[in-house]
Amino acid sequence: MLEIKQLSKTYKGGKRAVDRLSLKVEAGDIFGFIGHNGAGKTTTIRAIVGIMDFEEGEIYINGLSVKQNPVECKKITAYIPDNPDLYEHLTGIQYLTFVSDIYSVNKQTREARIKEYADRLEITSNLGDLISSYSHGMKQKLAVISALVHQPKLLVLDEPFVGLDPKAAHTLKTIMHELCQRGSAIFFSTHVLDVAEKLCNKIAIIKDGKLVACGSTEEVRGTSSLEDVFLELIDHE
Amino acid sequence: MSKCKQLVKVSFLNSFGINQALHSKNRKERAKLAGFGILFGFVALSMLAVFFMYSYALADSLEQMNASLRILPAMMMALCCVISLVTTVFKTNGLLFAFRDYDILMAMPIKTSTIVTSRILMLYGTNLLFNAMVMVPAVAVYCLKTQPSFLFYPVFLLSLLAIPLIPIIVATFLGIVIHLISARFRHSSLVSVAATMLLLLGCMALSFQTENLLSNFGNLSMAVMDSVNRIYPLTELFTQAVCDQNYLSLLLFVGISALLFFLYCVLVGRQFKKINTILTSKKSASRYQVQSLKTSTPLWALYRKEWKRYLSCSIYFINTGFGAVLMIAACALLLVFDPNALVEQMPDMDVLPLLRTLLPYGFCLLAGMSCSTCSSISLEGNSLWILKSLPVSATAIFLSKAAVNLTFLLPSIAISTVLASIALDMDLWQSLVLFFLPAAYSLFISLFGLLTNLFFPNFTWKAEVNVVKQSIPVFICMLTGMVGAFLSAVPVFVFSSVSPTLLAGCAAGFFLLLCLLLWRILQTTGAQLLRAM
Repeated sequence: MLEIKQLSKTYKGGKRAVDRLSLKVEAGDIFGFIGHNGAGKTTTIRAIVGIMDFEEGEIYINGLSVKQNPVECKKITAYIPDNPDLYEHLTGIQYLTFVSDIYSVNKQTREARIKEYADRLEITSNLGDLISSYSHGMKQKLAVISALVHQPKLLVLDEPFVGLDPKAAHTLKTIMHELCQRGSAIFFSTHVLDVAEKLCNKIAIIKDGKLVACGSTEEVRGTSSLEDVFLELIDHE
Repeated sequence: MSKCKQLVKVSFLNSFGINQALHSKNRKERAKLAGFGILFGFVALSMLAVFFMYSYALADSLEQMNASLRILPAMMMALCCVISLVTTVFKTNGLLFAFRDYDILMAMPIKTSTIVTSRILMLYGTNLLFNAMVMVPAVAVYCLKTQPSFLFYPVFLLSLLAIPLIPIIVATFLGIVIHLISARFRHSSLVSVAATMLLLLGCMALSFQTENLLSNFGNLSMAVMDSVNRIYPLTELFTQAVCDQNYLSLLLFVGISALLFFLYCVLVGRQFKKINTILTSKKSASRYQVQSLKTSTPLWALYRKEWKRYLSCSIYFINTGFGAVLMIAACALLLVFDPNALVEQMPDMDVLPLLRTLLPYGFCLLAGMSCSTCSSISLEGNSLWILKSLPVSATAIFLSKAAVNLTFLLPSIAISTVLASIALDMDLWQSLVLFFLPAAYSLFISLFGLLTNLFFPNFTWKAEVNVVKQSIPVFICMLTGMVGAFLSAVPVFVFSSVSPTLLAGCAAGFFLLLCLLLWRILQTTGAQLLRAM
């Protein structure tokens, strides 16, 4: 579903944020992407979803190159950033309608999905209000609904649980499982190793732009906890 | 005081990309910003020259009509005050109150009064700079003509410092009132826009009190001073202080201004949190139920989103839409006040044919000043990730933004064409070029604005006014819009034997060709720039 080949990104000024990163995410995977602050997680994610240009390497989503076929790739991908700055001048439902129109989701489907996810995330009553009146958590929930309304084949999330209350976080985990059972793949970054350990079937650890560990959760964790493995890898020069 | 200096310094560095120019490691970016700095300096000098020449011409006219030269500094001062008032109303919400880093600043160990002082100083500084650019050339002409004593200069300098004070007070008050009224309505931004437009038109009506001038032509000085004093009552004190070196008037002018400003600062400082809370509170009904939803095409969805964005920010709408409103208002006035009266006043000039010839270029000038696309990319701000992650092409994004600009320009041009055609008794071809030339120019300026913003984006703005009024692409676009309109009229004077209608038609064709070129550049370079953001 997602294949990254030798991705490298160097910012102006010489900082190499990602260095020859390669990994694969199959359909049905919940893939956790872990690393310290400034490791290159967000850069990788932004390159996958087409927000950021990259010079070296390739990224394929469902066999399509992100560079050659950006619009086609985006049609089957959804992205939720860590800090969802949404259109504050729109109401929640206007934003969802906008996203549904862009993805050409038909009327009955969008109504059903918006109702389902808004009810599950307990935000239905707020959809008529301006997004400028939403708290951070409410914006996060709205961003989640907008990502799910077109049932993406690849869902990319950057720190998805930050700002969500425990109930909403639990609901999101359930939704992620449901999505994977339907054949989609999920790729997300997180600092919460506990969540990654319990939720993900595959994990990659990135350090200073380079992949230092990648595989199934059991393979990466080995006999110790993910936290111990992570600290060992990050501290080891 | 040092904390206040720090705050002012940070605000100043954030303006016009100054900090980027100082700290960016990207040579191209630094060169770009340096280039802009040189351009800005050149334009500032040009504006000084223009104001000087205008003041000189006005002074000559006053001398020919045996009118007092005291009118010159008085008129310029009143003009400064009206412009300061109008521009400061926009800045109230976003610069003085409800600015983006309000939370961060108020959470710091800085007195509220210090924060307020720093914001007011920024407001005062920008107004003072503009006032100086207008007043210094005007007073220079006055000095050349009247050779005042040495004491004139310190009196003028002191008065110059006091000029912006009262307009800032009035503008802040009006800005808050407009916001409070509009907040009661569902479509608050539309109400805010309408209220501000009424204010602008009211100020213009006040400024153009020609009735007095025409009926009291024999006593021009009195008539003009009377009109100017009606616009701004303190003008008489200023004039007496500066032109007559009347120290009591100076004391009163500076004293009243300073006292009121001090009281204003104290009041704003005490009520700052309350005012900010009122201005930033959003209504939340929380009773929505999922209803039947409408569907539309992706392009229409993008356009609708852009249009709502445009209407949601009153300063964005007014700054770019006022030219279009002015176009319609001017043509309506032409229809109401018979232009044949002008013919009787100026029998030596072919007024009507001249108006018919130059009006299309006048429309172009106003259209050139009404470009919403030159800040539309920057206004995406931190939400740019949405457009970039959605399955939409760069072309569709550009089309939707240009379409918003044309949505208010084209109908305005059409309405103005109908009104002017009737008022000036134009034939069919004249009416057609009156529409098509500015329409082609509107398309050109929409695409040019987009390209300029792609080259000079700014996503780190703290208040929308920084992007809509104080940014590089807005500056370049407005300059291009005005210069382009003037240059397109040059052939009319150079090739005076050729039919003006034909020349206007050729100009329209030229701009359409430019549009094709710009569209191609947008599709290639523009798309690359957007991808790289």
